[in-house]
Amino acid sequence: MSSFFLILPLEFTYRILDHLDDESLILSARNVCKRLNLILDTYYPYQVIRNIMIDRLFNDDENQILEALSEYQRIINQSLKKTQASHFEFTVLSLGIHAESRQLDIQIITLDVVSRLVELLTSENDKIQKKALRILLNVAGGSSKQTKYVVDAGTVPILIQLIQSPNEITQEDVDTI
Amino acid sequence: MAGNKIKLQSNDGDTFDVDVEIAKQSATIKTMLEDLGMSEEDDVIPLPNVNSAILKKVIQWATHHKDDPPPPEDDENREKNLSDISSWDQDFLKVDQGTLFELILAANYLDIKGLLDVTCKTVANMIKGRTPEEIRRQFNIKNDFTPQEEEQIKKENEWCEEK
Repeated sequence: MSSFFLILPLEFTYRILDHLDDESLILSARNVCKRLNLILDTYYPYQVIRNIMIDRLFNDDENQILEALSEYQRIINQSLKKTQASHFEFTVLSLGIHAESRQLDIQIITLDVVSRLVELLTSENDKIQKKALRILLNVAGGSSKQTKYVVDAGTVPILIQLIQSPNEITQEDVDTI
Repeated sequence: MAGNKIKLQSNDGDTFDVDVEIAKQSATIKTMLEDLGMSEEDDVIPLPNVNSAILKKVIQWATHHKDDPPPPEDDENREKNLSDISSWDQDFLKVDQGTLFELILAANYLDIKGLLDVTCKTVANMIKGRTPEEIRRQFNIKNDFTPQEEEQIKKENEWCEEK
């Protein structure tokens, strides 16, 4: 017997996916089977997470990086707002940084993403530097686990370098940490 | 107006007497009654896409929810809150997957937003927080990736796994 889930018309699969958070899209729905992967590939919210969040962040093109950083920041802001509105469930959606509240304690934010952000701190581009710094700041302000990620990724020595940098704006930002 | 009944007929020929106000939760039926000027008294409304078992469930759901406030129009900032399914709905939807999926299709055909939402949420809940393998078991989905593809997936996922 074939699965009801797979014979459901596409629009309903989308409707079901609409109720899933980004983390479930990536960690649960992705790679169940070929059909579902095809559906996800055409599902806009998934494309956003996948492309903007990952591909662009690791791109060499500065504009792409900036776009990715803005997207990360946007989602972090959204999640911070949510946190204030509801209780202390700190869920940074697509970054997937989330506190211990979930059944599956899988963290999407990994050393990889954080290392990339740290790497971007040394970028020649002021804007990239600032944005990356702000995101790291937000991430580090999350759970203790998240703070550890940021520290483990070697942020601190770079921050010290930045403090000594001639760029005043960046210095101010570092000081706020 | 109160107490008026209409007859709904399933595709396998059974008819159900339903309060007009309850039936009108279905935008499809509401349109038929209001725009097409169907009389409520004696006409039977045929529902060729819904069988008796499902229609019975839909009527049961609509009867329970008859006093609900109308659901908000397509909510831009729709909350992805999966835990807000009422316990009555949770019990109501403890059905086999075939029924659940047929309810989704019926809710869509009859255009009952509340029922469509809650059924889709229920399926989403079966996905949320699970691993792909658990989802395959849950929905009886075959793993159709080749070993090479599996290898590729593993690589692709390295960024999101704890090391």
